[in-house]
Amino acid sequence: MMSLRHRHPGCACVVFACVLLPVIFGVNPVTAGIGLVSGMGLLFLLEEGRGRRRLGWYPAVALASGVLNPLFNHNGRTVLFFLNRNPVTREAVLYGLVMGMLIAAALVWARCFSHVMDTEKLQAVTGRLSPKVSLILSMSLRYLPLFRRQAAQVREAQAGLGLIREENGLDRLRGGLRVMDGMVTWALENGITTADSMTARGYGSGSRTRYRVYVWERGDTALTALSLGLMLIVAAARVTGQIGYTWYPELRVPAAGFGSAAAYGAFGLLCLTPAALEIKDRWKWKVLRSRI
Amino acid sequence: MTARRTENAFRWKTALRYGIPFLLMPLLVVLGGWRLGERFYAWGILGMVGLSQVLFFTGFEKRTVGSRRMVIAAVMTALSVLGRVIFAPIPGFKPITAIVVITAIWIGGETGFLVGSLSALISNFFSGQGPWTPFQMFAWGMIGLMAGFLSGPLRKNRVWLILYGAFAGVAYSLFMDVWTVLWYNGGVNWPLYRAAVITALPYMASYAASNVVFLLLLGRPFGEKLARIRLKYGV
Repeated sequence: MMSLRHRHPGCACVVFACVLLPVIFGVNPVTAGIGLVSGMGLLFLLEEGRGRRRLGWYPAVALASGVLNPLFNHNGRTVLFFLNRNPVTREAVLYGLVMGMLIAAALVWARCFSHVMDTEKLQAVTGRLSPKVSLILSMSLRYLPLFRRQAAQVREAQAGLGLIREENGLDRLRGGLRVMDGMVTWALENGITTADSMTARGYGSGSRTRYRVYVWERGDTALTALSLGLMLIVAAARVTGQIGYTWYPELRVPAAGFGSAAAYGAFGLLCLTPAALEIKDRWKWKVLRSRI
Repeated sequence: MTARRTENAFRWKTALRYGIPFLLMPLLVVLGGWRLGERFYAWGILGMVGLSQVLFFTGFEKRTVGSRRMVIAAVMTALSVLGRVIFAPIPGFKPITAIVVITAIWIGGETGFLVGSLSALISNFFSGQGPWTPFQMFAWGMIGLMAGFLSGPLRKNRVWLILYGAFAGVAYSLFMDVWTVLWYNGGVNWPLYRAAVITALPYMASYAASNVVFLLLLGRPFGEKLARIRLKYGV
């Protein structure tokens, strides 16, 4: 099976949703921990250089949360000490740490998500929901480099005429406004021309068909089904209360049993699948390349 | 093959359009209130924000929107994202809210919502996507939608425009603080919210100030251009 980056964007979305839902629904140290560690592993594979060095930031979020939560939350029965006459409780510290892990895990997976889903894939997904919004998104993204180039041209022309000075902040602001003024008029007129050209070529005259870059393959079905199945195991354990922690007023840990073991195992498998597929993909690439 | 695909897509959207307000939203409220109790607020609000977003985008499909208006929306979105680049020499200055408001009062509230939402989405490709993206999309979208409702006084009177700009900056900051607390705490916690608001005060001030400045700077030239486009091409 191919890595998540090369799968259908819809399939990738389902996998991310299946990982994120158990993490954020339910303050549970095991799912949060598994999510955080596996997410960091995946991010380590996807990032390069500077991004990798920034990975240490995520556990720091979890620790900071453990310190901050007791300052605002005084629930809990086991008082550790008093700060400004407010009790600091063990429950609040632990809850803060777990909440921090949960947030860090969600952030890590969100970062992975933006590595896997680039603008083009996002468009393939939004295009299904709303072709018009997707078209506007696509046009805006195309306008960004176009307008930037045009702004540079306008600036050069105005500077060439001696209309732009950059001696102080006010001059710079005036220069910026001058450039924007010319740019906006041009952009709007240009937009109208584009729109008329679209209408002339029959835009909106019938139902829209799309060229599909991404094809749903059997592997996508398999990966989607696997993720949903594993997620459902976790959800079942959660609904029957086998992995539900109670934090306040006193920490109550659910008894370990077959249900919780199955849920954590399933969730671990689910979280490790993307990284495993990525490693497998790279290993395959290496092997194939060395034989050429 | 093609016809069937289009038909399927149509059915999908119809299902979402009726399913969200009449099935998913009540289900979220009832089930959430019943199963999650106190912690419901966080997921309830997160879910509502997400669902209303989907509802708006599918609803946008139904109305006959001329291709001219669509392209204008794309142009304004790109301009608001690029505004950062042009004004990059001056730090802490974002024209996004101002451009969203101006678009909303001259072209319409729905276009304003769209420009606000998509500006948040696209600019986050540069400054980082995260769980806050739907919230920012919603906040900027609502700023646009409300400006559309108030377009009469906002067009005529600059004082209203200034007031709305300041209000939008404050409201945006307060709304994003709600997100911070809900996300962090999983429920309502007033001391934490107060602390978040206080730490965010400088941001709130800079949002409000830059909104007012940009509305004063851009309000007239942009308004004239958009009014001219409306008059000339009937957008």
